[in-house]
This record gives sequence, C-alpha cells and structure tokens, in this order.
Amino acid sequence: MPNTPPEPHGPALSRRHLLGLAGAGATGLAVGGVGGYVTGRARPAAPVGSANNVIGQTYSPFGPYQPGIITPVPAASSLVAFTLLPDTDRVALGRLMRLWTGDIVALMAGKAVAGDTTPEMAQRAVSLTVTVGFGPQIFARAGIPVPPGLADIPAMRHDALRDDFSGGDLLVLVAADDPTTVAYARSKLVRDALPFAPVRWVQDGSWRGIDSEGRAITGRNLFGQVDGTGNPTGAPLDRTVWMTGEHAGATTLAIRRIEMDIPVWDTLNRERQEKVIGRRLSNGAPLTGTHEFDALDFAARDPETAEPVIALDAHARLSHPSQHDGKQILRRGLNYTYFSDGKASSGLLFLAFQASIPDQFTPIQQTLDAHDALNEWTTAIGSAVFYIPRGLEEGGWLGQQLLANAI
Amino acid sequence: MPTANQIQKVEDMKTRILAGLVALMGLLAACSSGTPKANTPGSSPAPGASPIVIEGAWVRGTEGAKDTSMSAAFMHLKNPTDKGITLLKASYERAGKTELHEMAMVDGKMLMREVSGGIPIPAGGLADLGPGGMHIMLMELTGPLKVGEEIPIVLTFSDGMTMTVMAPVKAFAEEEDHYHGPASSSMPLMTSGG
Repeated sequence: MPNTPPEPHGPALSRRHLLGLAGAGATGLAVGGVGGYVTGRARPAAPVGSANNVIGQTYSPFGPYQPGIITPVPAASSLVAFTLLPDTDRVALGRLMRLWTGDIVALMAGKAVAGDTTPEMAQRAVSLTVTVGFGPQIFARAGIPVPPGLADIPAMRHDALRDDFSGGDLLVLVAADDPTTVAYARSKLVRDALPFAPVRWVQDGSWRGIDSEGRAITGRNLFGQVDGTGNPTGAPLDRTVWMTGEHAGATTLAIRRIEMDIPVWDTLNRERQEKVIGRRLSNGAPLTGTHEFDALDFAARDPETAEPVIALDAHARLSHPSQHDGKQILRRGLNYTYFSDGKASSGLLFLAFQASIPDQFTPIQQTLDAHDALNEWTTAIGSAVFYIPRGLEEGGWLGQQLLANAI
Repeated sequence: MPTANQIQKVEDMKTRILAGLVALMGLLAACSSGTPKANTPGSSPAPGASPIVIEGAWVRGTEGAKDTSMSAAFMHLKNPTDKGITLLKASYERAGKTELHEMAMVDGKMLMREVSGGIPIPAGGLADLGPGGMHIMLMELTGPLKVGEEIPIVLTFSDGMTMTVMAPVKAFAEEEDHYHGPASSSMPLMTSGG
C-alpha cells in the first residue's frame, strides 16, 4: 500500500489534498511564478486528458509535512540510516540539519547543492522527494524528551531480524522517478553527513505506481498482489498519520524489511493465494466484491461450505481498521530484490507512517504476527523506527523546533 | 571586473532563478548587521537590513590541504532591488586577511587576482561566486576549517549595509590549486587552450 493517491477511486490527487500539502510553501512558490504546489510538466507516458500525478513531478520542500509521505510513490526509492558519531551533539545536529535543509531545497528544485562538481545531474520534474527521520538516539543525544508516538517495536514471533537492516539514529528516504537521480541526491546527503554520522545501512526499493497508459494505480508487490488498496484517505488519513499539539505535522515511520518466500508462494494455486489475502489477484478487489475499492464484507459466507468468504485468518481481514478500533497506518511499499551467491532475496520494504507506533503500528502488527495466514511465506528481517519532523518553513531548517530550543 | 563568461554565468543563473524558485530565497544563513545567528539558515531582512539575499554559501575545508592557511568562500548573492549594489569587502574573524578574487584571462593565461572595486550585483540580478570564478579568498587563517563547521563571514556592501552569512564548511570538491595559490595580487594558474 503505497501511499498512492489519497483519493482512492481516481488517479488524481484532490485539489484539497494538494492545497493541504502546499501549506505555507505555496505562497512563496506562487510569488516565484511557479504557480502552485505540483509543477510537473513532463508527462511522457500519459495520454492527453488522463491524469498522472506520479511521474515528472516537481514537489515543494516546504509545507506543514515533509514530502515523501503522502506524495505518490515514484519508481525508485532509497532508505539510508546513519549512526551518530560520539561527538555529534545537539549543536552539531543543528549544523547537519541546516546543511541538509540547503541540500534538499536545492535538489528538489532541480539545482545543485553547494560545492557540487556535477551540477548537471540536478534536474527538475523528476519527482524527487527527500524525507528526514530521527531515530530514538537523537532525542537522547540532544537531551530532549522522546515524543510519545516514537517507540521501539517489540519482538514478533516471525522476526528474524538482522543488524545490517535494522536500527539507525538518523534516516533519509530519497525517492524519484529513476535510480540515477536517487543515487545522485543520496550521494550529496551522505557526503554532507560524513562529519556527523556515517552510513549504517542502505536499503533500496522500487515501485510501479502507473499502468501501461501512464495512469496512477495502487501498484503490486512481488507476490503479484495489489498492495496498498486499504490506505486511509481524507480525514482518516490526517488522523492516522499526523501528530497534533507541539508535534503537529510530524509523524513516525516504522520500516520493516519483509522477506518473501516467492519460490514456495509460486507453488500455490491462485485460489489459495487469494484466500490468504482475501482479495483477488486480478484487480485487488475483495473476494466479496468486484472492484478494487469495494468494501470488504466480513459476514459473507460461501453458500455451499458456510465458510466465511474472507477467511478468519485472511490478511485483509486481520489488518482491517474494523478489527483495530478504527486504528490504521499509512503504508508505502517498496519492492526489493537482490542476488547473492546466485540466490535471489526478494521482498517488501514495508514503510508504515502513523502518529503513534505504540498505539497504531504495534497492536496491528501483533495481531498479524499471531494470526495472519501470510506469515507462512513472509519473515521480517529488518526493523527500524524514526520520528519524522514536521515540514519545512521557508527560512527554517529541519528539526529546528526540536533542536534549536533545547537546553 | 567579471569576465564575459562570468557575466554569462550570472545571466544564466538569473534565468534559472526567475524560472523557478523564489522558494529558495533567503535559504542560507543571512542575517543582518553583524550578529551571527547560527540557528537561522535564512531569514527575511529586517527593516534597515541589507536587501541582498544569499543562497548556497559554503567554504572549503582546510584539512588535508597543501596550504592550510588559506581557503575560499562561495555563494550566490541576489539583488532584488532596482539599483546595482556592490560587494565591497568580506571578513572572517579567524582570517588575518580577506580578499575578493576573480579569475581573468590575461595574455593567454588564466589568472586569479583581486577584484578592483568589489563584486557588482546587478539590479534584479545575481553575483555567482563559485569554484573557477569569483570567490572570497580567506588568508592567514589562524586555525583549521573543519568540515561540518559553520563559520560567520561578514559582508560589506556599497549601500553601507553589512550582513553576516553562516557558511558551512564542506570538503574539497576540486583540486585545491585553483583556490590556494600564493597570495600575490596576480598569479598564473593555468594556461588557456591547452
């Protein structure tokens, strides 16, 4: 469930959504003649008249929220986690955040960062977003209270976590239309972080968020399932994702690297595969419905067997908000595959955004860990949590509210 | 004075800026008259403050350099007013001497030399200080410039205003010889057309 379009039944982002995203930044952009929040021009794959808000975009780095959370998932993403050096204190973190802020504002505008020797690599209309996150250690290092929404994820029965995919003090999520742009932007951010925090791990992922006509779609994971249909939209999205009060505009990110046993999954017949999820492989529709976004009917029973059509252990049932007092998460899935010693390792980088990890992510995940039929073919091999500070104000810097005023 | 090439660069930059991003305005630490405010990457000018807007300021680190007594600072200076303003002087508390430099072609050789009369920032335009072009030369440094630090550079303009820019220190991006030659007023750096 990629955080594809917040409007579930159409490819276009709603006007309300765009305005909400633009926030304070829109004013400045309009003054500059850019004329709004999304300024994409290149839409090569989209036929005239069809909406495509996925590729060829130029996003503003300014607004109440950071980009890369509810903006559509482009083709290429990279997550980089860093480990703070021992002498990187609150003041040093401020310097790094000011550096990164300058880099991000320039890169997202298609401009080179200060001191770049390859400025031609910077381009507009490549859907570039950079999202910055703070691991729990940042709060200890800066001597500021850990926000209540940020907490470690307790061990799950199906975990087989590896250090090289887990943890981290600082995070950047770089996303763009192509891996070259992602690598370029990432290299600038990594270079500037070097005096403060070296890289701990890098995890790359991909997504196909458009169809063959160039229209925005939900996209599929490597099991072939339409993945992300159930994401909240509208007011439930706001309630699900954004913190309120002193952390307004901030959120948390839980990253789970889910290894998928594709060779074994491929031996199941389609009926079995669909039963595990409770949705059709063809279009993601619930087994009780016809279209992707049809509501799930958990009461429906097979007239012959009297069994629930959507099985009691089906993933779509167990993860549904109705099973969790209405609690939800916003998923942003990324597929990964790499080969090592001739053997494929494939799965899903499961990114979940929510106002509170302990109140939302953890209980939902515990339910799935206990009962989900899908567990037979999936294993969490990486896990990390981050606080995602609110969006940038013009003239401000990332994390300023937290780091500038702390003692 | 700037070379034709530099003026072209300024024009190109102007076009790019106008095409896009006022959103970038004031991004890097520019604050008015003297008091460095390290926690402010950018700010609107206060009344009575310089109207010049600074973007993308940075300084080359000296760690690992052949000559650690010198470095260079770079930035884009934008003049949103309808009157030309000249950058007359730059200073940094840990540099015994600071000069405004340009690269110029003299008798077939590219020279680095002090700019006479300061660096003009045209009305509604931009002065682009960057590697290979105009820059602020920091000399007689009393200590190393470590990558990851921020240093305050005080700029003095022809309209009588001063401004302190907090510039991050970044690692070498190119060969240091371009910016770390001896501090004579005119020195050959490389031959042209080679």
